Amino acid sequence: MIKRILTVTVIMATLLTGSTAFATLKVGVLSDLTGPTSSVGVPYAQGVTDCIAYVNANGGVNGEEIKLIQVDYAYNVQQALSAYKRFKSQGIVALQGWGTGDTEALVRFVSRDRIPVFSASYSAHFMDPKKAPYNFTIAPDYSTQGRAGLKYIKDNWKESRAPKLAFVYPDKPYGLVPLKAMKEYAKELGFEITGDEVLGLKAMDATPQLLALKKQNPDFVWVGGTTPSTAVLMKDAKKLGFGGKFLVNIWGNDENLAKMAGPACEGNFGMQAAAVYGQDVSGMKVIEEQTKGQPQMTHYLRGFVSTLVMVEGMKKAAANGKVTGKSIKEALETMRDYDPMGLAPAISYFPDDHRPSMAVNVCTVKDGKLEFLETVSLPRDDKWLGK
Amino acid sequence: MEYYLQLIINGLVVGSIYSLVALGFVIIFKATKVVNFAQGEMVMAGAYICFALTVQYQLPFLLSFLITLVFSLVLGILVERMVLRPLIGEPIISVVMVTIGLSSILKSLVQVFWGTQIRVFPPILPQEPIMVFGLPIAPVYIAASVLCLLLFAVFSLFFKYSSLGIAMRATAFDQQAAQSMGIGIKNIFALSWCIAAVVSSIGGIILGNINGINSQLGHLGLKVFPAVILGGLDSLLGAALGGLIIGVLENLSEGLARDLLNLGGFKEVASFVVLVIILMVKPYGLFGTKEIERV
Repeated sequence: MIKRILTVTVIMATLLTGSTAFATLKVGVLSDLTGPTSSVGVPYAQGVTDCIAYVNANGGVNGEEIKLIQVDYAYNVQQALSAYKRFKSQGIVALQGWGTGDTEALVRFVSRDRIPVFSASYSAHFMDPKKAPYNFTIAPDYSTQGRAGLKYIKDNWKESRAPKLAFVYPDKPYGLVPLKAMKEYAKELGFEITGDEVLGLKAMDATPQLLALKKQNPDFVWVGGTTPSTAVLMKDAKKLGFGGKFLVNIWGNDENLAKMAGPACEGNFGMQAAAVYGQDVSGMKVIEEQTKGQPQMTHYLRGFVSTLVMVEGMKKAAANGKVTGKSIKEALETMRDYDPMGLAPAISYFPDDHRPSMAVNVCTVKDGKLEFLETVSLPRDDKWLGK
Repeated sequence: MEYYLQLIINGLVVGSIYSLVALGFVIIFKATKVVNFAQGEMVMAGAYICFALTVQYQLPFLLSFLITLVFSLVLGILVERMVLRPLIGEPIISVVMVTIGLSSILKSLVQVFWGTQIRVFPPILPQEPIMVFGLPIAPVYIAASVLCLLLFAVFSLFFKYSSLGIAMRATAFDQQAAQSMGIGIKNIFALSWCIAAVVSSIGGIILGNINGINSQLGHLGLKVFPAVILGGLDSLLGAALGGLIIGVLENLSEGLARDLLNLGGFKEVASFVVLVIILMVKPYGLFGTKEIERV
């Protein structure tokens, strides 16, 4: 009898040891591959999966492979909640999220379940650990991006009078959220604010807005749209002889803009959080190898960086002991000036401040190509956290 | 004054595209009494076919345009034969649900073949604006308006003078009477789907030339719906005027709200406000046939 118990114990121990040897770290990925934001969701998701392939090919997390469980939730919050339940039952330790709606809906769940989330929604309140303790991003919030853009144009303003600034945005949280912060900062910098215009994300014509803007005669117009509406705005601006320059938010300024707006978008400005494909940074060689030299949108690089930073958190957690959601969060909060191979500005998180950095890349379109201009850094001011 | 004139002219050119898509809704409803909720996706399918021929297969634009029209005819026949004909005699809600399903299928097929990236037509027309009454208008908008006017003229003449057009009108008026007079109802149904697919494709190609295409283009169907209801679901003239009125209304409401109330964003909701008012005041639209039911 004792012999039989010993045999069973040995077999069980072998099986358990064996299963540990084949353990993987599971990560959920919420992607919009077919929904309304899929034109940018697809390259972002590809960046995430390519980064995991790169990490796994280079030793994983302390020898453990990362397994992605990807769900196309088509930008539907209910589907995101269902997918999250599935992820949780499969034992994920972290999540790569996507939009504002789903990130917002999941804040309470991920906090309760202690699962860190990296999303591509940069609403300022996700940066405040008091409101969203398990939320992380690799790009500064929309307000910080806007402030950095304003600082860039003010620093390059040569005339003695105050530059005039107007705002064009969709009546959606993405467009509305950073307005208050930007207006306050614009006043601090000495801009003269001339007015606001609403432009829907599916606009086919921006004439009414531009005719109103022409009356206000701004030097610069901040645009909180996506590429299709921004392209309409810029083409109509050229047609109507509008003289101001546009300063475009992160989702309205990418490689598609030049294709859609043609020469009308040349010389305007836009904010970005990751490098442009082919930019002279140390990690570009890795990206070119992963993509076999096929150019990708900047959103791809952002997805890649988001995953790279998450993996760095996992590695730190592994070095401290076991990799769990809680240990990843704690490890991330000790991250200081982590350089994601130059593909984005250096990243730091603090227990009371999840803003990844205060540095924003300003880009322009030159000869039909998105081009990096300058990284603008702002101070990590506590009064801006979550606003 | 110049401000409002510019708003009206731009409203008219955008409205002419709405009219074209509205025409597709009306032709199908007129002949079959079916509201086609896949109209927007038919716009998208035509745009993608023309894009593929022009950009991927490098065919001259005019040839691509003509091939797309042929493709649209085939699509119309296939949809009618395979999807809608088996539903003759079934409750209208089943037919409506099938058109919603059809919209999903068309959208999925486009995503399978072309993905979800934004695609852009090479510039077919010059980019420099043309001055109309001293106001700058993009050439593609002028071409769109001219094409829309031309199509409305052609279809008006077709329905008024051709035997096939008269047969379609007779079918729309009374299917049983038309059938008893020897009109092939099934062929009329197929023809109406073909025409709707063709005008939708033309709308899609115009839109693609204005602002690129992606798999979300199908949303245009919903955007145009207020124009269809305003004009009347079974009136060609209604579709034409409904589209133009909605286009102008969107722009004027934005301009007036800005001037009088210092408020923005009216453009986005103006058409749906009109939709609600029209449904309350004149549910059959401006030119729609008022049906009298005896209970």
